Amino acid sequence: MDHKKFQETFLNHFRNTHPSKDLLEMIIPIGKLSSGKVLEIYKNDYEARLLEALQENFEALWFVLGDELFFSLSQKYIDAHPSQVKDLRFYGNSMEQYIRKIEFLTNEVPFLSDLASFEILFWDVFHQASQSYQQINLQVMEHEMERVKFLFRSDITFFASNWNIGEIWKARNQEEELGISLKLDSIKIDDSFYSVFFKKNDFVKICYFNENQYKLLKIMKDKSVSLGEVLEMIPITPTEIKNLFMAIVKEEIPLILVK
Amino acid sequence: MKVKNTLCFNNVKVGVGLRHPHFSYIEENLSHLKIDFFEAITENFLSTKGRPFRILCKIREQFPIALHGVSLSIASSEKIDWDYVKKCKTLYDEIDPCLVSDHLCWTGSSAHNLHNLLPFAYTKESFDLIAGKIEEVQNYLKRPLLFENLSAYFTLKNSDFSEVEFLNRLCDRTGCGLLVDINNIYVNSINQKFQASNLLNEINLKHVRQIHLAGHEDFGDYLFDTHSRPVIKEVWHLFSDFMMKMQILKQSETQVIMPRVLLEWDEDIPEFPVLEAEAGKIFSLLAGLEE
Repeated sequence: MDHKKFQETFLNHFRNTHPSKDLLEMIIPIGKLSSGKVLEIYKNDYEARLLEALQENFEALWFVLGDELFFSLSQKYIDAHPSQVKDLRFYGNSMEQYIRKIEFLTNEVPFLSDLASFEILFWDVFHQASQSYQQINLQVMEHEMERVKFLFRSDITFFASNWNIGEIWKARNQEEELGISLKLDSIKIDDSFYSVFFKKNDFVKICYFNENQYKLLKIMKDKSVSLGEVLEMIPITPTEIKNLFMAIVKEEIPLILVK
Repeated sequence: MKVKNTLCFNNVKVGVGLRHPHFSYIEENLSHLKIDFFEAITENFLSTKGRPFRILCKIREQFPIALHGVSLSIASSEKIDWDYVKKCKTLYDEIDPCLVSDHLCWTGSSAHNLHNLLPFAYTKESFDLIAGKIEEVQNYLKRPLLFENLSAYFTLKNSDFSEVEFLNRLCDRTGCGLLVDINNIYVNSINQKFQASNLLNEINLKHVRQIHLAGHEDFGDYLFDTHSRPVIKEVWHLFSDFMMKMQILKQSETQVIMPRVLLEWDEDIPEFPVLEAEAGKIFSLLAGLEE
């Protein structure tokens, strides 16, 4: 068996349940172990690495599902998705779509795929470079409010869900930080969640908005329209607008005013 | 083995692996860490410009950094993954590492990365393939690479060379260097039943640029290279004999360079001071060899 054939046969062993007889005959196993057993060592190590990656990439999924369900979901995902990444940070990037296909999970825990999607976005933002921030001047806006447009810094990310993903995410953090066990029952899971998150120094800042405020910002970003134009599209109240702009200043959301 | 008053290990640089649980400690204590350099896993910094990369750059301001890859898969029968190599080069240009290394292994295919350092048969066929690939990558990177010996849980019946012979020849032909993992040699020596010291004697010392030390676990039937424990006494002995040999040869062979020595710890990672103390044993051991 030449070099290429050996590697193809080895890889096939990982995909199939029955090891190749040719491969087993080529191998000199260590110690008293059989050829099959040493191949199992590599297979177990592979699965352990991928499981560890999923644990790191989907902490909140793990928190919600608990060990048994999460490990079972992970094992099925690993079986169905051979790794094609070099950086394990990216392993699990189709978890959201995978969960959607599992009827039992979608029925029992309907927010799970949204949670997976949130975690992927969160880590993408986390790994972006820190960028400079300039405070927005609201006084300028008061005079020419209708004409104002925003430039959104590249790390600003929008995320909305019919489920209270933000609280679930926070709960997993609180459990870690406070060392207490939190129950999902204490969270109003079916509250909608509208968020904008971005890089603040080393970390990810998550800001919570209501539906109108979220839509206003998202349309301004996606369509590059002025505040005046977007106000014609959304039934947003003056108070909601005022609170939105106060939050932009207070939370230091990295927007640049363009007239 | 002792040679009186002639050996000096003052210039041997001792480092530890950079792992994210230590980021905060390292950042807060950067000015008084008792090590000479860090080794970072290349792949952990290829796709981030966030906190991990910022901390790497901050450390680099005060310490040399070696970059150690796990995904080059130089022994793969597939073509070189140039996208990966280009990303590595960008990182090397940003960090200016003191050494860059990977493993003499394959790790799977583009369709299925097994995230494992896999052995292969040391044949004339695989030698020509790998030597050619090393030359291509080194030409592109414009720097030599180091290749590390594996801990392997099987060998192949159709090998024409031993692993050391294969590595020595690769260095002779391509100008690459050796990263000698002494724990891997010890683990293999028990698992594969050979004398670790004999294997270490076969290494062409003029190619050695770095040494790895680590701990392993005994699973009863075999030793497993976990990097999860302190270095065991047998590995310390092999290391001190090896360093003595290198220092003695250095006095007559100008091509011999004393290697950087790195302590690896990847699982059940202790607090940084524990790691630092373990690395401190390397300084003490080398000082003891001078007496």
